[in-house]
Amino acid sequence: MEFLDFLHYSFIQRALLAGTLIAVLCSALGLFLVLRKMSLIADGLSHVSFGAVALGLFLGVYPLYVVIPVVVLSSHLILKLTEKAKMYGDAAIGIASAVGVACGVILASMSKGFNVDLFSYLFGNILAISGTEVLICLVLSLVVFGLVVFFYHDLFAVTFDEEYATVTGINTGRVNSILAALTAVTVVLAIRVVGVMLVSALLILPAVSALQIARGFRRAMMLSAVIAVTSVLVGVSVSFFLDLPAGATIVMTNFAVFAFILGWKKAFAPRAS
Amino acid sequence: MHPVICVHNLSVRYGGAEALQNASFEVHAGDYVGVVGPNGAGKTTLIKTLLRLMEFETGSIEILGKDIHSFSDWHKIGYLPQRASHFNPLFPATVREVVRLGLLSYKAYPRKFSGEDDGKIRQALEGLGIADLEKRLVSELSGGQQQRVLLARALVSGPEILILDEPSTALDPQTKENFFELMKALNANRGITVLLITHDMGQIGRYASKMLYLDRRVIFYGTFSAFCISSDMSSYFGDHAQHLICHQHT
Repeated sequence: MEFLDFLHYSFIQRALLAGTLIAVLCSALGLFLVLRKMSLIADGLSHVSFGAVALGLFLGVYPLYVVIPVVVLSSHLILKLTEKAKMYGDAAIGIASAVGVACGVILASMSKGFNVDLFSYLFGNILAISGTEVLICLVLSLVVFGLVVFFYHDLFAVTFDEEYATVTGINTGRVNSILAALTAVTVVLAIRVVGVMLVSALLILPAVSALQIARGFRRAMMLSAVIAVTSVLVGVSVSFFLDLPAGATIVMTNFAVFAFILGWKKAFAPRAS
Repeated sequence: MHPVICVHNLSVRYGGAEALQNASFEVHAGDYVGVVGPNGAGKTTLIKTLLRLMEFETGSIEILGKDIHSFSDWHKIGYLPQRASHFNPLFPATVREVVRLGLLSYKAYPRKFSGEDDGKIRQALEGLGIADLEKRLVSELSGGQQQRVLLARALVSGPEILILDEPSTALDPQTKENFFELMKALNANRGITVLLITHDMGQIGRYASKMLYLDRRVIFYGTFSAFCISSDMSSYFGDHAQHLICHQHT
């Protein structure tokens, strides 16, 4: 029973609740992003959010209020750059990342005294998440998850074969914009868990782990969610007992699951591709 | 009889160059049209324009009696793309999940699928002799099996027109032959109008009721036997080439 006593701490309860919600979102969206070879958009948007956090702190506004619109807008700009400026997606993401970080660095150098706050966004701290942040997280998670469920078949169709999806009458441009916007909101939420530097891992690792063994897309999505949630629960618990940074521990737990699945697959299921 | 596809003076530009110029032809219900021509002749451009994947500059297209811009019955068009062999090997989609995509154009949001839809999927798979593959991953199947899965996806909505873009490219000779037989049976037994791009002129002679020869414009449109006795085609290709084309299928 003593082992579970730590669950009585309200900060642990908040961390586990917010972490679980974000893990489910990351796993659902991560699968679409990985299969569409858009994994790095999460990395790019997290770097943009670094600049947006700096802007919020610079203006003296609660950072989340600045980060959400800026990152959603940036996700849209990345898509437009890819579509209209005849540019590869990774180049557009690279530009957004660089501009985001550059803005953050300039604003940090112009400011006096918010560098410590900015640093906390770089590496995240789920154990310091407030009740208000949990509530924001809950509302946004419900919105994002609701939209993923509503557009599930469209997202699947566009991910599997964009050209065929167009022929069936799906507005693929709109689906791409929705996916980018949902990713943006998820990245912003995930930054509180693992920080700007590690956010892409939360989207990529559960998805690639599930893809190693899942048979069927829906099963892959469920397996990805199970892996992501388990990693958050284990990561938060381990970080509490071993006094480790929670975000990094969650990411390493995710990686351990991936390595285990990969090893198991190599050892016992050599035929599976 | 009203044509199911009516293309009039169609011109399409692609990458700054004219890919198709003043193309006009009509396809009637029950036709089996083989679209042929050299590389870069505008075959895929034509198909993509008919499927609204590409915009056209001038001219008009009517599908099932409606202008393409106001046409919305996409479930009446089945499409089999060229790249069956290009499946992402990581994608964990089952055969059933892929075939179900063919029913999406029927479904209004939130796009719920019913038991009746499951029946249609099973029927499409059984019709092509691949019902046993329903739960398999598409990425694990052979090229011929993947081709049939994509064909089941194209047929599951009960289309009136089937458009195929070089469907036999990645297939071995026997599978290719079986595929053309299957197309012929679908055309003859179900009355599906077929529009098929191929490089294989011999197959056109054997299976198609009409041939559309493109080379950035319509060079010939009519029956294969009419092609073989056309003096215009004899002057265009030369006697020897025309003779070779016409005797590939015998």
